[in-house]
Amino acid sequence: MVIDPITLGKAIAQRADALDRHAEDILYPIILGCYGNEESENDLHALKQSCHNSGFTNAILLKDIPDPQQPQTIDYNIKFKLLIKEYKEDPTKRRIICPIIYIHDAINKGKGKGLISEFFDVITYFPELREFTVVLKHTTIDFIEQLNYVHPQNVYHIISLKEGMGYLVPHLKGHMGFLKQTLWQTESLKRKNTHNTTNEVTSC
Amino acid sequence: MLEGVRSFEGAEFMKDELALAILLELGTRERISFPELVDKLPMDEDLLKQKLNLLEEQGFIKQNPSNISDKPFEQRKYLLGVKGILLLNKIRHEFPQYHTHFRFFF
Repeated sequence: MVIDPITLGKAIAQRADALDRHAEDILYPIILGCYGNEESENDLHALKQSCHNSGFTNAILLKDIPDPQQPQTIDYNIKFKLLIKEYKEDPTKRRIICPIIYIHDAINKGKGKGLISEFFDVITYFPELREFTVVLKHTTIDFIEQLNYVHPQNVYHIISLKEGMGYLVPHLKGHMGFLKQTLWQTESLKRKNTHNTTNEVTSC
Repeated sequence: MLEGVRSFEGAEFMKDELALAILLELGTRERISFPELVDKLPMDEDLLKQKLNLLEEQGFIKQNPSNISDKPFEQRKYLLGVKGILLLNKIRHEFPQYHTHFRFFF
């Protein structure tokens, strides 16, 4: 049975409470990798799906975002930088941006190594991202110098995509305790503070 | 403990069924022109324009190639902004019963 968008919109609006904010919604994983290589892109899509299935629905691929300048196209590293700026420009939302860099061994054939390096350069430009950057790298990939600037405990050496998924979701879930604490603290202070001076607490 | 936390990005639109319908339709393709939206969504044209302006102001959708407020609606093309994509992702996750009806391009 086909449901038209208005009926579907109505059905969702009636149960809008299901869209209340959860702790997972504070995390904004951006899945990065060798865009342009079909095998790698399929893996990136699978990683995004794995995040969504675990409740991290803000996980996004750069490829998902339509380019408003079309027919001109924006390079992926510029798109990544613009996306971070867009997230940061809204000071009312508490956001934690998590760049997830998946390095497929396609880079050994010369595809995407430069792009991966440029993603690392953008992360270096926003130093606060370093803490939350996760790298999933195949054990067979060539050396990438910028990997030295990522926290070693956030770099996972993998032999398959499945193994990478097995590391990524628990890594993201590892933030949950602190995220719940952040939400609780914010709401608790808001209720106690009648003078509405909680901006310094809620803004990130 | 977390009761009362209702500050998700799309909060103001969650109960607006027409705005949600527009977002759901825009999620089906990367770009949709205003005349195509008129064909797809059986609603009053002025109301459609009003909702599109609202969604654009809030950053859920954008114009292609750029936002020009005085451009005639008939010549406009729309696409989802990042906020719109995130809200639809959340909807897709929270309403699995409608899974087969979501035809999102992402």
